Amino acid sequence: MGHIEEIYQAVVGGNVDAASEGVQKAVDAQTDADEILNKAMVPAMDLVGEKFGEGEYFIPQVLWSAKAMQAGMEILRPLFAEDQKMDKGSIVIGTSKGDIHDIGKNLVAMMLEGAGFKIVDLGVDVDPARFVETAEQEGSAVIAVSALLTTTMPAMKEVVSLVRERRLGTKVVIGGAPVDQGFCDEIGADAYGTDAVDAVKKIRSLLGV
Amino acid sequence: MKKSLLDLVEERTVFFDGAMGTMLMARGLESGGIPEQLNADHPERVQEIHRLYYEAGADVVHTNTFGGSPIKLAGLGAGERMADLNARGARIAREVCPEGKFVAGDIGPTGKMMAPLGDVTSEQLEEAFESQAEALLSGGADFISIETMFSLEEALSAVEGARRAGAPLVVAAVTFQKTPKGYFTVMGDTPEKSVSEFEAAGVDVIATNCTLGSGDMIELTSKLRGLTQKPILVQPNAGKPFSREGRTFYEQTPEEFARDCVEIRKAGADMIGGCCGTDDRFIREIVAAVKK
Repeated sequence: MGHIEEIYQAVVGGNVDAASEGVQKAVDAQTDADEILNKAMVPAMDLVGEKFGEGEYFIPQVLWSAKAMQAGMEILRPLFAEDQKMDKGSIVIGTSKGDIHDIGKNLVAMMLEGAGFKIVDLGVDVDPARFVETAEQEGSAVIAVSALLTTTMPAMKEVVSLVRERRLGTKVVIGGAPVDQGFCDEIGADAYGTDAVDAVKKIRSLLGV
Repeated sequence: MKKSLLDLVEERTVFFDGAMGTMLMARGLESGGIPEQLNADHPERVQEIHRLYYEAGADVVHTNTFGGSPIKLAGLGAGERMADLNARGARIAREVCPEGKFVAGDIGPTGKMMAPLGDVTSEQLEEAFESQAEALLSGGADFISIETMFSLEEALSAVEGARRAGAPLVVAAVTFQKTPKGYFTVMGDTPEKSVSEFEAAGVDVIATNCTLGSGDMIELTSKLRGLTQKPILVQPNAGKPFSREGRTFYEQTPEEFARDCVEIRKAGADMIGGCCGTDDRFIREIVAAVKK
């Protein structure tokens, strides 16, 4: 089994130690960091996403795979040159103002990280202005807002309004149990993810990466 | 001596209450904030909801302490008020509980993942739930009801905590999603595993609530009935929530919900109540429909 295949299997299987060992071996064998990322780890997380979508994987399996991916990334990160664009862009993420439920948000953040995005996690109960200001400072391509409570959904609309007011190119992606496409359309958000895997998919297609 | 919940269930279907959050929001609960803080700041509002549920025919109401675990409250900067808010929550319900009816001390998830995936250990969870259960029992809860657990492991920690606190009876619920491959918690626990581990842990009433609407709960109830001889409590959501023009709606009407509850009863549930989106109208309809 080649290094790439070994890393791929380790990430799919959520084997943290095997993933970092595999990446280290690949690096020692002069394998290109880009290749390790894009031929092994990213496709592995794609498969994990599919398995989650099909009900074969559950949250624990997804999180172990994301941890394995992160372990590999620790080794790779210093190898990417400054000018080389490893990150697909940064994403500001948090729960809607008034909402402290962050399990879904954390899962989406981990999946996005696994897909190679840089995450700026603002945590819970995030003020709409803070989302937008942070995205402006970080030059983030996407703001991702999660809500579990229906009462905190209006704050999502505020995020969209602020982004439009300031004429930022930042996309706003929303998610959470009470959120649906109808609500997304109503508030003019750019996309809505049904679950963590769908969120990654929607963000990739919004950004064309 | 007072009749226990288990005596009552021998005689007839037992009715639980509906949602607390839905009722609070309908009364203008500020978005955000700490729902349990209302037990101290506006006990009359919480009590009014309990009273409405008892009047609608509920035999049992849940205290307004779903998010009252020390871990969850600490995350909101209210950790030091834990014992007080839980004891008050129980007292508020106790004060309006008619004779022969019950107060269930409500325990919900902490929102934390357990180690090694997350950062809390089962020992920390057990200790946290034990202190919450102690406060609930000291305030007058008749027993402990563990709800909406998306992780069986965390639910079992809560059962252990409740037992250590001396709960005379423990109701324990995990919440299942319906997938093409069957019913699972988001952590991947099956009904089979959940029931067998709950039984091994000495849970008195096997329960499920939230996530699913009443339609899907019919099938899940049959499944649970096939797995246990213990009493079963089922509390469905009123369908899926959706928001239009800043208002929240649920798919199901009280009448539709009650029709499904008759089927849930036939499928083997001994106790029925409502979860998200249900209010006193739903409970009134269920009681009327099931008794018919």
